[in-house]
Amino acid sequence: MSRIVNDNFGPAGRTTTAVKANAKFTAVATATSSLSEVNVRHEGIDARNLADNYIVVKSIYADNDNSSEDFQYNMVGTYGGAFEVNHTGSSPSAGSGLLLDMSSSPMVLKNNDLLRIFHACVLTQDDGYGRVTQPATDYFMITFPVWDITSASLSNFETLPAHDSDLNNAATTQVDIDLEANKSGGIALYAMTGRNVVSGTDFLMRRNGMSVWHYKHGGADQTIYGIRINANGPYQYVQIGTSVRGWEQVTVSSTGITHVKMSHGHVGALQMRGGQP
Amino acid sequence: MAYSPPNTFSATAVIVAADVQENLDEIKKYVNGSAVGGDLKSSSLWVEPKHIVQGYYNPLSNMHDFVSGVSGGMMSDPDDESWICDGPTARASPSSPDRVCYPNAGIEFYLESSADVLFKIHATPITPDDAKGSALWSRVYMFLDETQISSTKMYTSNAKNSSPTETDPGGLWRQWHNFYISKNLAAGWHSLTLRGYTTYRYSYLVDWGCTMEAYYL
Repeated sequence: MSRIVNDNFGPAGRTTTAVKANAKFTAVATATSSLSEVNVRHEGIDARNLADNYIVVKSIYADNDNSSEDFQYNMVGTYGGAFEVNHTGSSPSAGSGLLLDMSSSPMVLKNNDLLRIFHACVLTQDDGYGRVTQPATDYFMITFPVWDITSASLSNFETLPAHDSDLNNAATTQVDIDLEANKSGGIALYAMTGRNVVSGTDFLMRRNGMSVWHYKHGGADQTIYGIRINANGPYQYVQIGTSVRGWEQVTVSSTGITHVKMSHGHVGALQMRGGQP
Repeated sequence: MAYSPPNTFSATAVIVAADVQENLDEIKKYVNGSAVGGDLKSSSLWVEPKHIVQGYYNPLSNMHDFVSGVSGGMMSDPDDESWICDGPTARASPSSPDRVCYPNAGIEFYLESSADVLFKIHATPITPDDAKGSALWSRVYMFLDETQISSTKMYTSNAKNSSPTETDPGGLWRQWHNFYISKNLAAGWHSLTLRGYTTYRYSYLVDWGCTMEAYYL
């Protein structure tokens, strides 16, 4: 922008013209279309507006908060395999689960954008399935974010970059973990150890899990239609060969724990962008 | 977007005062907060150091105020403990236990305007076992102002029960970490606190902290 030249009208009693009146407002319109250093003084901008200092482009959050303590998600069946952490109650509606639905207003990651995905859940043994014994091995369940970058139908959720695709496999598979293509960042683990109370029917396997996934996008625009939290397990930690570590899926029966429930879950994401890369 | 006068005047018509006033009112609206990023000059870089506000750091509250938002948080000291007891919370198994603040485990902050705010917390809770043989636990929630964020529920349970053959190494030393994103949080003073209750005589935190990042809308 430039400074506006104050072309005053004449003193009282003198006439003006439409040309002068229009010119006055056109000058404002022109000037405000390109604000620049001429127009920045005391308020200014701060360092977070500049390159490599991120500000939020899009934020989204979902939880199952209905002010009750009894809402819960679905349970693990007789065997493991990836499953959606879906809501089983009535509020929010069953099946809505931990889903950030952006199908109507997709998130578009630009080059150098930072995406941060947060999620947390509580894992407990369901009271309705009787007393179980302490697992002999430290088995665990996992939850992890997946995204749909294919279409607004939200029917093509896939694992995130740098995660083993077997994380989201419905079959029984082993998950590799390393420091490159198969990272564990963003995955929340829930130990399946716990306590039997003396009265006998409750199993105090109460575990809070949370994880954060940071992803700096590079290259062409990436459209994201939805982000969902899935779960998998039970797993146990194994060593594969001499250098690879991983999680080996085990049968539910081998853990002695037939069902678990996920509750008090929530998921959020921030898309952040700096100035020029 | 840039200012656009709602009325254009014609040489053959009388300039109506109300139209002029409307044009001026639109200017006022623009100057008072309608300028957007697309209005900025983009033909060349024009920002100089004199235009950059460094932000104000308040060492007492550990808050950093920027033009575009606020960041801050707190960390416990290495030897700190933050205690709650069952006396005012869950003693005698009330149906709705009172939640109380874990001391020195919260933050207060001021927003100049509405903002999206990210909160993160972590803590190591300890709820000892007293061999009572009953279910002993503590629960905690993040509270934004006076509102409980129920989806941030976190647990401990007792380390062991009266059966001597069972132990739970994870029972004592749990890790709590959680988050919350408050969208379009209103301008003004706010607080984030950890509040909970315990069925044991006491429960306490070690090594806890919380952070907040506010981004003005």
